[in-house]
Amino acid sequence: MAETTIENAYRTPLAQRQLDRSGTVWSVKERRDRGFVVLRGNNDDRVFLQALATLDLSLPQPVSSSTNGGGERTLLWVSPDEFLLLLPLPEKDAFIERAETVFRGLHAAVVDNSGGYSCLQLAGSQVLAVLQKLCAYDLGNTAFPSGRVLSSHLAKAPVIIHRPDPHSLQLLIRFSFADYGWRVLSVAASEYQAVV
Amino acid sequence: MSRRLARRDSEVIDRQQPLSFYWCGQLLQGLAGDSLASALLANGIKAVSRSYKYSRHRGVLCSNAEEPNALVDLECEPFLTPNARATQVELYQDLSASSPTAAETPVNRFKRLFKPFGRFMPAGFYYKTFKYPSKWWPHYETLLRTMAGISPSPTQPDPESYDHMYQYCDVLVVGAGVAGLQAALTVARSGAQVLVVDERPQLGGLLYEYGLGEYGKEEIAGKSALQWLRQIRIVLDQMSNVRVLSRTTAFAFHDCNLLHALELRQDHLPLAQRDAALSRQRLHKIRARQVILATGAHERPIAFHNNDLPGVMLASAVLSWVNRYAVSPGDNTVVFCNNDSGLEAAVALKAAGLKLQAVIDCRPDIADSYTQALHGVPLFPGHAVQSATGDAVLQSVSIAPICLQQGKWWVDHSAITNLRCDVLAVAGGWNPVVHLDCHTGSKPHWDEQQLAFMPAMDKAGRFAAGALNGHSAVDACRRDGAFTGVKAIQALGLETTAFEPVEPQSLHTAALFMVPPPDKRHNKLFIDMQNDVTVDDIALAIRENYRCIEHIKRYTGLGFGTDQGKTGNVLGVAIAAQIQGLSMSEVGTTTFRPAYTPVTFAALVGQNRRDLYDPKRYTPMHSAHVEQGAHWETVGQWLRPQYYPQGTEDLDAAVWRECLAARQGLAVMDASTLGKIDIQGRDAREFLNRVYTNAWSKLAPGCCRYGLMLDENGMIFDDGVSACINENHFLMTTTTGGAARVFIWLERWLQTEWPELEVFLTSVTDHWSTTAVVGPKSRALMQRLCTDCDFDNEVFPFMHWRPGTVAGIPARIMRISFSGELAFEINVQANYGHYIWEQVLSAGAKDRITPYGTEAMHVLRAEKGFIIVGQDTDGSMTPVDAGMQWIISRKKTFPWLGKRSLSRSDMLREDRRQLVGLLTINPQQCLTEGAQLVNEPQGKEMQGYVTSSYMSPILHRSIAMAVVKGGRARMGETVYARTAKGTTLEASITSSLFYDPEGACRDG
Repeated sequence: MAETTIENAYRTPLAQRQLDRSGTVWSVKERRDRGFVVLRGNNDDRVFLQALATLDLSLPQPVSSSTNGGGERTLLWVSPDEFLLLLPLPEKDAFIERAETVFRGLHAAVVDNSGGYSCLQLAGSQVLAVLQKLCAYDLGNTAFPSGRVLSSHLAKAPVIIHRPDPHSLQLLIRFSFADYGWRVLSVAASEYQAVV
Repeated sequence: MSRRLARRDSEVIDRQQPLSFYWCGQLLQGLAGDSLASALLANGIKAVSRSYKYSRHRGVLCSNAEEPNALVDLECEPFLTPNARATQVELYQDLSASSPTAAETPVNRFKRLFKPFGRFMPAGFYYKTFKYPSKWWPHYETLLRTMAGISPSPTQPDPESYDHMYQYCDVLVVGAGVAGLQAALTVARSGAQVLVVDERPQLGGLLYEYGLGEYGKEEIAGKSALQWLRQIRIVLDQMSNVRVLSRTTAFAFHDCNLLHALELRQDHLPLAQRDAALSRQRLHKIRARQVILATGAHERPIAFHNNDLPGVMLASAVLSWVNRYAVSPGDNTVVFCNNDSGLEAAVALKAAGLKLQAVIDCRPDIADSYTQALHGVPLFPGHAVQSATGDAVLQSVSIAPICLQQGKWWVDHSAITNLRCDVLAVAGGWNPVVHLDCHTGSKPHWDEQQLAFMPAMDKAGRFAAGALNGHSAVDACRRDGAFTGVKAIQALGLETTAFEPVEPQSLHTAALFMVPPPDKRHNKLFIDMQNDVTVDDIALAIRENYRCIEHIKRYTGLGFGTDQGKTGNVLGVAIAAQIQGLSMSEVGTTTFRPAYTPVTFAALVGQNRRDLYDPKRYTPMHSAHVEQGAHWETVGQWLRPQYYPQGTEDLDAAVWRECLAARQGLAVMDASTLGKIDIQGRDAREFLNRVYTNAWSKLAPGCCRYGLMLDENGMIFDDGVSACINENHFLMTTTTGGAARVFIWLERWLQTEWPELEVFLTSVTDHWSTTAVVGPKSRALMQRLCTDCDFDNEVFPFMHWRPGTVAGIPARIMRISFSGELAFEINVQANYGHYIWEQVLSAGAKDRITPYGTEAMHVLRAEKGFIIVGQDTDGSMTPVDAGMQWIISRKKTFPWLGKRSLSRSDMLREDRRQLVGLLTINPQQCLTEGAQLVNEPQGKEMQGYVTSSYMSPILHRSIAMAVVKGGRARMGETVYARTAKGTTLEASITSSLFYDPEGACRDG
């Protein structure tokens, strides 16, 4: 009963927008199955790295991501002492509990930020052209290859951009900015497809 | 009558596609590929505008971006485009263009009345004339403003769209003339990413004008110039690492190789054919590792009496009409030059079949090769055009012998020859287009060999190529392009083969900028055609001691037009140098600033307009507020419900109802917008001790505490409640608008001053949604929604928090109150925020639960005397000023932020402005926020001002908060609040705690 309530009550930031569009030119999808957990600790702290290893996580290189747990858990580098873990939503609470135990007594922290973001998965031949209108960073495959992570802006909103593979990009837009992000993407994409 | 020439290889027009267009309402015919200027000339229209100041007839002078005269209005509202250069407007079917200055409007007719008095209106005329009497200035100003300007500004919203695009490349090539194209090709072959931008619709630059080999002279790499151009275009198109943007003007060059370029994507299409899904214009923000400037050169005119008559054109422009557009601008053409390019133009025009009346060269000798090529054309070496004559258009020129004597040009005015002509092609030398290089602060230098200002090119990562380097021969430009391309490849660190540098060929230009007129007075030798600046104006400015070229510019208006003096500025510098006996280098140029050509504001704004002008942040409950008909208030970037009107309620009625619901029944508010910072680490308490004024050492898990944050000066900076989650873990709340500022502030102290503290700060503002349940019935509601938490007053007292499951969702419930009522805040993960809001509303329905907005929140908190940082404080208020001494801890060991400042002598003054309450003598009168307070009804000495003022529904009277000098010692005194409208209200000073002073409601 409780599980059903939680599932029905759950709403992503863009749940009410008819967002999902697929096409070869431009496709966008809001992922509704991800939890977001912030891990804090210094990347040169050996004890913290060991703790990560205990959690089966490998530390990503700067401005990059690491894939863990059979591809289901992605750890994004945000800053030298901040990492954002993307993991399946149902595993989130158990992970946080375990991480809190592992981190106890260390200069490290685990913070649930699962409500913090809308996670958009973008693909299609014109993705770069659309994002080129909104983000000052060069997101082409050469400058921004697979596994790269970036904190930048989407028009005037903050965004974390991740390239999981050569064919797609992942945008993490803060919950409160998601509607704005959706609208700037719609306008920017309008010339490539009538609707987003 | 069409003035179209027979088909030419070089023409860019499509004779199969005739187009109709309207010029000042008159239906005319042109061809696809025409510019508006070429189409007008093809229809025999030479006079296209009137001058700004003297209302003189003006014609097309140039053929491209540098045109000063042919400013036209395109289309009408809402598509009106003012001040377009007819030379750059591409013709399309049913284009409607008009001349704003030549039109028969009342203002234009009025201005023409002054034409005969032009000689009485020199530089500085307006400054000198409209000074007296000074009180008349507003009337003068109204009149002058009516007459000023060229085109009217559009008044209706622009229906077209604009966008921005960020671009990246290894090498950006600006200008796709011969040098630019060859440089692009050379670089592209190295594999580097190349972006080429060019302002014209066709690539090739001045190749159409000077590279056609009509007289067997110009060949490029062994091919005819046109063949070469077509071939290189094909090659570049096939290379995946090359992008070419035509119709794209690089108008600004910023530091670190950031260039802004404006692409006209749809301006060349008829309005009906423009695709609404595409932007009309696109602003490209280009970051390039290396920049090659191949911006070419503009031809400059020579000043002589009446040189502004329509029909007087630059030689390059005449070549453009003939070669590019196959239009003969006149029947009798005279060429007047001071360098070899003018002679080359004459040869080309003769070859094109134009009737050349004469070729006039100020230099004493003409080379044999030109004499032979111009066989049959009367040549006048050692002559100059001394004046032009004509009624509205050019009819004849007077020429006279000229020679250089002791460094000065001397004209024999006694030996005048009159030549009938309708076109005078003037070739006065070339100005390399140094603008972009100068945008980052470089100054061009005068080159005595080239007789031109040459680019400094003293910044890293940029190169010049072609005519910008002083090259004139087409093949030399190509070879210089290749050489520059190689340099750029080397700068990228890529492998390449060496290439020989190319020395510029001389055009043997003579330093003739102006032909001395026959009469010393009343001459009209125009330098800046757009602003009607003459040689006499420059002389006058210098006589009045405006000697620096920047002062001369500002006094005369030289170079102030939309053309930024592209044709006239160098003449102005030359004349200023001549008058003052200085060299060109000593005079120098004025400052070149972006934009190179005008850019519409809409393009700069791009998509950041209307709804997207600024981000709007929504809470998870946003759609529920929309359904409940909320009126909105923007707080920071957040959209917060201000009030929820029912039926015909206005703000006052709705707020009244909402406040009473919170005080007497049950109300609910969305408090999700408050900033939230997760603070973890073994030094978290110590960190809070240092950033807040009060003590945090003993706050137990499960407890909350209000904190006040000061800046280094001891002034109130932010406030909020922080909760202790466990020994090393706190959740801080900040004000809605202050969240980002506070987070940055805290991180700064942590990282730069206290790196030894083991603390991590993480923003979780977006993670949590907060539903505040307020009112005497709130406990009962919470008990219905949450069964695993004990809400008993003893067990769950005020300023505590408890975990619980609210309507099935895990939550942190905080018993805190900004209203002074019994209240609980339900914090859940944002994804459940909407659900919880709905559940609370539904569970509270039987108690008529009332959602309330920020306005009611303000009233409720003011009744309790709670401050709002930024409303009741202004960055100059200490906790003592705010009456919050109780929150200052003197016992903490580490000096918290702002502590030292609070003991400065100025902070201890007793007459500082202090926050107090005000009660109007008439309880139904409400003070105006911001009203100034004085001691007497007519007093002038300010005592302070009103910071907050409301009608309090629960108290049935008005209440206000104010800052008053020494206010706390003045309880019971009367002050008078004066508004800008002149009203005065009497009020007495009181405590700012108006309601429930014991806190019984809150603790109930």
